[in-house]
Amino acid sequence: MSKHLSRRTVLKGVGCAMGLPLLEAMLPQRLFAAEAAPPVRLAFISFPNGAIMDAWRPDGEGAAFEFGPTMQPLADLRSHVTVLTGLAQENGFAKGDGAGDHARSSASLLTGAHPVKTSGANIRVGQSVDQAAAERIGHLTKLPSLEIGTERGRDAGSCDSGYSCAYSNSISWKDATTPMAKEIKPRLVFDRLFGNSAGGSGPSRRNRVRQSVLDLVSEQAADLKNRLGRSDQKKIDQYFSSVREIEQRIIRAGQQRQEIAVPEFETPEDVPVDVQEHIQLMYDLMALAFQTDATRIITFVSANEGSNRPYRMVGVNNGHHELSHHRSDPEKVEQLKKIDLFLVGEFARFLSKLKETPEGNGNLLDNCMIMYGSGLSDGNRHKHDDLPIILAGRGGGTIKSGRHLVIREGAPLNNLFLSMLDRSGAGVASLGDSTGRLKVLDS
Amino acid sequence: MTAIRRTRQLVFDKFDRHFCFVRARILPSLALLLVCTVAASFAAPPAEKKPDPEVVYRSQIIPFLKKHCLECHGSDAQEGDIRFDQFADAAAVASDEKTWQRTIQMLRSGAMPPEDAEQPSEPVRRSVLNWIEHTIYKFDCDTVTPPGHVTIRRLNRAEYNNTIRDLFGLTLRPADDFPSDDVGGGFDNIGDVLSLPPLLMEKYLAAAEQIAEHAIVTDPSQFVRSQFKFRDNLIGEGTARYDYSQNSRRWTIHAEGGVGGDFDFRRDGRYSLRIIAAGQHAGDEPPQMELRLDGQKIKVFDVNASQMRGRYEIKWNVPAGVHHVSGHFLNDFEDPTAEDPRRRDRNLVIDSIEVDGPLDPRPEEYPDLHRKLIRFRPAGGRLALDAAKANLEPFIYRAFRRPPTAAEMSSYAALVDNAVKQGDSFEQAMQIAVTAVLVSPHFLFRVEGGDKSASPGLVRPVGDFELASRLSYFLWSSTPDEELLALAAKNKLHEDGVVQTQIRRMLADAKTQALVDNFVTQWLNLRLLDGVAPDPQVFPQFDAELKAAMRRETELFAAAIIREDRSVLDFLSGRFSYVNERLAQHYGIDGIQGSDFQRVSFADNRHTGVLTQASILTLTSNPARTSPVKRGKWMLENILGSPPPDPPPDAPDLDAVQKAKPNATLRQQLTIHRENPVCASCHKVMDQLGFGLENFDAIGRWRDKDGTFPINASGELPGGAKFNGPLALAKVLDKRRSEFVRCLAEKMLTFAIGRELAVQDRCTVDKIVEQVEDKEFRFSALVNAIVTSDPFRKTSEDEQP
Repeated sequence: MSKHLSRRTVLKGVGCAMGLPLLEAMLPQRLFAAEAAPPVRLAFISFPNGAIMDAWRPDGEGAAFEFGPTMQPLADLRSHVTVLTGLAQENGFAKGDGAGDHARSSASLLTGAHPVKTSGANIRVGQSVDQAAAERIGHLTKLPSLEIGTERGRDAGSCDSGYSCAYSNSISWKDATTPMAKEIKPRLVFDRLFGNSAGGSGPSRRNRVRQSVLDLVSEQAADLKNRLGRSDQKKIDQYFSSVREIEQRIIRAGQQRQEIAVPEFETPEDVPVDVQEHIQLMYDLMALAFQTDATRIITFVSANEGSNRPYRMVGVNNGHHELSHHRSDPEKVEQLKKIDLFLVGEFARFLSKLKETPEGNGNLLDNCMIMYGSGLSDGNRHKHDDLPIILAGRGGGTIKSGRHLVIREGAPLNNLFLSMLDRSGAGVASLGDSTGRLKVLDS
Repeated sequence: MTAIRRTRQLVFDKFDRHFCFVRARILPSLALLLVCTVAASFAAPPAEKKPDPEVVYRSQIIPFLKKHCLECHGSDAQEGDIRFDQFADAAAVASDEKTWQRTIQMLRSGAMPPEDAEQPSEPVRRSVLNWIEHTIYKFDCDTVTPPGHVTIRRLNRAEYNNTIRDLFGLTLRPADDFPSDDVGGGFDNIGDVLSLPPLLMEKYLAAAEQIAEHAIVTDPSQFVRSQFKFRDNLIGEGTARYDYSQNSRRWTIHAEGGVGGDFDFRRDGRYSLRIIAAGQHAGDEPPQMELRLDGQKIKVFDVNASQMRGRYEIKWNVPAGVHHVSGHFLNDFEDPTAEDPRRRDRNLVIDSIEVDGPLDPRPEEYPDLHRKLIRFRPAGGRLALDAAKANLEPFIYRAFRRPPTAAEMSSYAALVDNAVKQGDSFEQAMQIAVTAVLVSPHFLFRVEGGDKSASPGLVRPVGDFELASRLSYFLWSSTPDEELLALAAKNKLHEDGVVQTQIRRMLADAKTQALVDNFVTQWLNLRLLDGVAPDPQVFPQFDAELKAAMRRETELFAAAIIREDRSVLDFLSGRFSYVNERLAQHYGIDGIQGSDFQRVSFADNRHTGVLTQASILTLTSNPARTSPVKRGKWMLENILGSPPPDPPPDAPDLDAVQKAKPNATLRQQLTIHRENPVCASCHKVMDQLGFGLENFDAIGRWRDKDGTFPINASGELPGGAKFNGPLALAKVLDKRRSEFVRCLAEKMLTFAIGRELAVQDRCTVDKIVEQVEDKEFRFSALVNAIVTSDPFRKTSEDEQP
């Protein structure tokens, strides 16, 4: 731990409004020596039920644009933000599958794939962009990727018109059939990032023991897989690949130059009752994760798609989803704008934190690419095109931010993903319904 | 013959399930008579001729379509892009599943035909529905239907916690921190839906390590008994004074004397005797303290500590019995002339006396759980390998819910042996093995079959061990106990009488609370109450305590139906419930005090079954007002089993109406809403059902007025059933009890087998409903019927990859 500050220092009770510490000693110490330039971080943040687009969409284009009213909190961060207009997630549309737009919105948002309509058997959509990245660059950090949210999955009844809850609960999919469960307790997110120090036995014995345990059960799984039929095999495959990921983490831990310093950060024992506090804690943890380089890939579901929670802190006592079917009722539209504004405000607070954190020759935000958006534009009519999408950060200096880019002819959101993956060293030929790179981002 | 006929009538023709039921109950003697007659002529049971679907299409379906449908869905108009005039024959119907599925949904929920059109009679409606279902799904209950294959089920969170509880007797609930299990088909125990992402595997591993650490003691000092005496539990002699006037409370010995106490030494053994002491220093030596046992000198300590207390300790062999342990001051000293006023008087200060031990715990003094898992140690020529095998065999048997194979035993024993060779203690090595059992796919999944030579689709009865798990996870959400496994080992569990006895035993066990916690709370959507947030401006009295009480009421109510083996119809019409003071006040019931729940009976015109419980009423309301629509929808989905179709995406909503006519009552607004034909079809059923509960506000309190409007709690359903108020509504639902029992049976079968029901399961559900009706709707009859059904008792081999 030598040069790092000890575990019990600096960061205190970030719960409310404290910035991250700016001390150099807390800055990421690369786990692996080889890398010189700061790495590029990826985050994907979703919000549910669309936005009031009239209040969202900026005026003007290119560098000369004005934020819409609900995007105002980003004003100070203007030079670090790219607003994108005209992107679509076509696979959110019904395509003959009838109702269930919220499930489709969540399932297609990061996959660009059309989910199979089923409430049980044969759940299938596609790999999501964060997992495509994790597959390629996840091995460089302690956690290949982090999936977090603020709402548990609905645990009874049906989630959305004949779609399994797996679709509405997850935006991150390891492969077409494995949703990545998300963590909603801040304390457990912290433990994952900064590792429960196993009481008693040192890390090397612990890793040796774990390895021997996983060896044994992998053999059992291999044997089982040989004997079982098709639908059962899928489940054993998930088991296998999850075991393998932990094994790889153990191997990496053995190669690590040093352990990540454990920042002092107070997390409540349970999920905070106050929604705003909860969202802020999650954002703070994201900032910590990026700052310490514990992971470079995060998905954050700020509320589950179709979420019906009220936002009382800004005077909205009705449920978000029910309001979103506003039918142009001005009162409801006003309430929805308050929610949009609130959520952007929290996002802006997070970005400021990153911006205030020096890294390399600039700041942490320079080295991030953070998509903030929804799989619905008009929540009232369930439209999945012309989506509200913001890209924050400069991708390690590869993005000319401070612009409003309008894609008049429309393009799949997945084209943006391809461009983001290229810039993070995780390029792929195609993903979901992508038709190419988003050229306008290169200009 | 009668039996056959009746079955067929129920499952195939199904003109009127309710009608059949009544006949079966009213005319038992006639039925008996018929059985006798038929028995006499048994030789040639004439196979009842099934009507040719093509003939029925021409003779019944086409006339029905002409009369009720074609006006809006024919050549002139195609409302909703549906038209029925282009299906030449039954084969054409069968080839367009999508259209006809939707037709079934609309017909079944009563959404079509529209309210203002002529309604078909119930028997006709059912007969048409039945024909469509059989035509598009092509199933036939007279032939053997395959039981289906259940994808291997991962333990969900509740099952994991309960399994750990029953395997180890530990109340840790590690799964509380696991990610939520996704829901499919309304339940979170569906094999196809439960996935295993890396996050969960990580948690499984950490939980397994934690459990192994709790179960096996590697350091005996963890549980060595400690005794501790201080303050007035100690006895002073000589100049010893207990001083509590200052901040620190302590004994001070000024000159000769000591402080001691009696301790219980459970048996002969080695003990740690300890005195927590300090000194006031004077002169050129520290205070000396003699530790004595029953007045005999054991050791003299120099007490160098002053401000901070020091620990003065010796390990000593002590015989069993009560003994006096004391500390005595040996070297009093005074020098009133000393320069430093604090160094003029030497005293001894004693805080407390402690005894730990015996320090060498004998095997029988280890915790029970440890002794169960470590019955053998490598000693006297017994190898670690063999000790491990002997210890692990019974444990793995329980954990895998079946006997372990020889290969499994060898690999686990080798794991222990290797760890010992690497320098771990035997106990540490056993912890590793326990961890490896708890992350094994054979523990985490309920594996069935796995016989590669079996041909796909082959139907076989589930094995006895598989049956033990199926029963146990159905009724207890937990691992089978010793008795179930013992019966399985004897290959007896599947025998009819044995299964019945076991079901009775299991239902009587407190572990059936799991049926309430996992089945009932999901079936009734009770779990969603957690996320409900009434508007605090409208309902300032609503808080977490009230919400918890609401949930508890419904849980206790359901538990009573299970425990007392009551009729499942009580879910709708039971005139009793459970309330505590808070909830009683909420309902306006007098005379209930305290936070404990008490059973109450109702003779009023308000309360009936779960329909009028505040939990259900609240979770089907909007934040600030009731929603007859949501309440009606809830009843259609969870009571009547005919969920309404999804609303069209451009359906106008109620608030538009409210804006236009702000002075209208909620009912008037809904009426205006229904004038729109797009909305009318479904809402005429949903709203009407919901109106019956309008006397309850959005948090379930009784009211006679909504604002200034008197409550109108009347409704009328398609087909003419009228009602006014909750009790009359319950009566209407009771008349449709077959639909309710079918709905409940479908839900419970889904939960029991862990897969969504498929079309061919219709036949199974028909049989279950019939059996429940025959047994006065008892809860146990429902469980028995499910357990004896093919999908529960048999399995089809999975497809080959």
